Amino acid sequence: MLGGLRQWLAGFLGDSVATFLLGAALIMTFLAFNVLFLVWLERKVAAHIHRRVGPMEAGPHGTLQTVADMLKLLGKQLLVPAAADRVGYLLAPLLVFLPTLCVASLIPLSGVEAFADVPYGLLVIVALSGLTVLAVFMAGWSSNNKYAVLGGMRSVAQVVAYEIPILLSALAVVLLSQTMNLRHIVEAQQHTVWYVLLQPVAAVIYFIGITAETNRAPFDIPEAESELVAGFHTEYSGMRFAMFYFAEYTNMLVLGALGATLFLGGWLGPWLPGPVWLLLKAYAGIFVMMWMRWTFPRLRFDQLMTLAWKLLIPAALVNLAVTALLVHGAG
Amino acid sequence: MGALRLFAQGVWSLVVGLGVTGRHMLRRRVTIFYPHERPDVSRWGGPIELVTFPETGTHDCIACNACVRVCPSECISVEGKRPEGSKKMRATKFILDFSTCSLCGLCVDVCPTDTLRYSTRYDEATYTRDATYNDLLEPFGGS
Amino acid sequence: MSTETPTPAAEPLDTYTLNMGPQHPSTHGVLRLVLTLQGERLIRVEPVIGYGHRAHEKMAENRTYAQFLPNTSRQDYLSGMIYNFAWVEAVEKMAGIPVPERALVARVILAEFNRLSSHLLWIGAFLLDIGGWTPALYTWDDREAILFLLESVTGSRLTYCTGRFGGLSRDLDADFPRRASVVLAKLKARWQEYEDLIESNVIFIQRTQGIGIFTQEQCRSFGVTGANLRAAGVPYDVRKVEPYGAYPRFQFDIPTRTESDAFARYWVRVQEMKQSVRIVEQALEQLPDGPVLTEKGLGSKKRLKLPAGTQYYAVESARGAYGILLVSEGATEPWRAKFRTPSYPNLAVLEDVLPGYMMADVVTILGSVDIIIPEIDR
Repeated sequence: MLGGLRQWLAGFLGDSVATFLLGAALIMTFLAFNVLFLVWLERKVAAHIHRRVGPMEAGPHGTLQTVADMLKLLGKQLLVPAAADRVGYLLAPLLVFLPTLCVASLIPLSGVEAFADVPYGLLVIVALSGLTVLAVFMAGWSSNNKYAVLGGMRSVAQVVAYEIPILLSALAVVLLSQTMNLRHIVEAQQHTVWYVLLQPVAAVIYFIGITAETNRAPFDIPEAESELVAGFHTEYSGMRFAMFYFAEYTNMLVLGALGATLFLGGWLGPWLPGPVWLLLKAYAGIFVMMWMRWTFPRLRFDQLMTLAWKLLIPAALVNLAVTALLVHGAG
Repeated sequence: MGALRLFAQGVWSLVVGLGVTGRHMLRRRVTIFYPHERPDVSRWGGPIELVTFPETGTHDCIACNACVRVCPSECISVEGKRPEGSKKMRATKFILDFSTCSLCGLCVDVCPTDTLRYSTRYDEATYTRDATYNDLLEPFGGS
Repeated sequence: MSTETPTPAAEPLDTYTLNMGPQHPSTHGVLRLVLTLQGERLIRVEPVIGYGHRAHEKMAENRTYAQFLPNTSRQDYLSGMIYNFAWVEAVEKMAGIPVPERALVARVILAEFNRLSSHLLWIGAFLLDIGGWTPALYTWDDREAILFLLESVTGSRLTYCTGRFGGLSRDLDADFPRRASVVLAKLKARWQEYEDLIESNVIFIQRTQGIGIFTQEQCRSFGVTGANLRAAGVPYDVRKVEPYGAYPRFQFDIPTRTESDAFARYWVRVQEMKQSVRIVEQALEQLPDGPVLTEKGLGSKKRLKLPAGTQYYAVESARGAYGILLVSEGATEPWRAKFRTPSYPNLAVLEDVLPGYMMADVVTILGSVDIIIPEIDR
């Protein structure tokens, strides 16, 4: 069916443009439904941890609650602060979302569909995920708000610091699989075991890294700074604020899917189709992130940075060195 | 070595914490689905009401104004008239301004005929100020 | 209550003022903190109070002793029972009103349950300040059991008006000891969980150890009482130092610690909760039979005239030493009622303690001191 649609579009726009548009539309739709699901899941996980039930009124077991919230946010007044940098202020919610969208298109689904077969996929992904930081800082700076700038700067420092352990643990996987092509990494795991068993330290570091990248508790100082000072998205209201929220959950999914690809064997698994396995593994990681959010208190900002620079990065470097030696020794 | 032990203790404490919340995730809720399910308010002391005595089938307020005088917030107003052929006065108006009542219970204490008591109402929010004036004689035919 | 602008010579030039306004997402109340910061560090803090002033002390001069009863709970609404009984006991002592044994023991039971519910709420609020949302809901669940129990006895859940001169307005029913034991059992089953989730948690320890240290001299010079003083190493508890009511009959310890940081204050309050459970268990066993009120309507039907004189009566509330200074000129209303509330000096000492800490710790320290603003402003 999709192939037929693509050919029809290609008649007007040409093959590559048609593929691009169709792919983008599919991914966006999928991500939108995914965010709806994740927000609902978050509220349900929180509720059950708290011995209550969460949303139950809107839709069966509250499944339409997120839709209702989105409709409410759509109805809010969109304000632009008078002295704000208009261009930056309006662009930031869009830009924060764009790199994640690109990364989403690079995660390989299953061997059947020839999709996301990029030779240096991992490198491209790492390069792209650095761009979200720019959007966050743009949001904080253009708001013309002392506290938004502070929140934005903290977020930038946090994301930059935690990107390094993510990269280093991904590099350990690259050493094992001898390729940066994500599709080949998953295929390599088909022949050996899932890399989480061979690289447990790297897997844990990666997991902590993505929790900090997505500003989830216990690393949510830039967001929950509302005790004292509001975060980088203070001056955003209504749908623009929703875009940041959307981007956070999309980021969680994409980084979770990347982790599943690197460590948990991507689309591999019996009975169920490949993409379903990938989703299940990604959601398992996200579920643990949610579980952590509702269990642990927040780390103070300097403790957060100490954890990154003094613990995670040295551990990831040591892990990388040990892996290199072992791989070299194995021949 | 001490640092390593501290580190291991720290990591273990995180795992234990996750265990606590994880166990709670699997247990039943402790909340009720208000307004579909309602709580047990049988012992709640809500806005005052007049007691219906079984012997007479009505209240026994003699409009003595003891409750009016004792109320710290001055939120009760009572008027009475002696009905034909009776030695006792009887209340013809009994208004409680619930917006200033603090549920202290002094009026219940001083009532000489024990005709005042707490009700079990708790859903007393209203849209207008006038609606906060409770007419205690309403179940008995109004003021 | 004016905010002085700092003189330029007094502070370095790169400071800025941050206003933690009267509204902020902590559960402490309407408090304004004018913070002067240099980068991340606090140079000066000026608490501005008075946003919740309701003139309780003035109201006391215009109401009879019984008519003031509803005001008592509203000063510190989390220790409402304790404050209610403090007023009642202060008047009883000054007027020489006898109280039946059952009422004395029942007051201890109710007051200790009140203390438990206050500490449980504080744990939830403190963890919320630090960023853990879940313990707040677990303590709320425990608190619900306590509040439901107290509702069955008094008819109220938060602000109680059950004390009367000469006893209590309602008696404990025959089933009360059983229901109370069920609540206590539920609480005791939770201690291990709180320890696992909070006290042993490495993140919590990192956030609270070494933070917000009071010295004993600071405590003495400001008049800090309550768990803050006990966490600084001074075993001062009004229930032991100036015993009142039926407390001398029960055995309980005063937990103290020497570090005087936020973690120590948390630990002391948790231990106090365990001691409260111990007191309630003993009191339930020793609960005598008999009337719970010597004379119904004393103070309301028959107005009380206290003999002329001055009296200071102190109790241990959940936050520290609460004292009532009653000055009577022989009338049915007090001439002057002055309330010494524990949160007032507990907040004042922060002016000395907070400078030098980083911003993120300000909220932690403020939360660990356990203040209630309405009782500061009265």
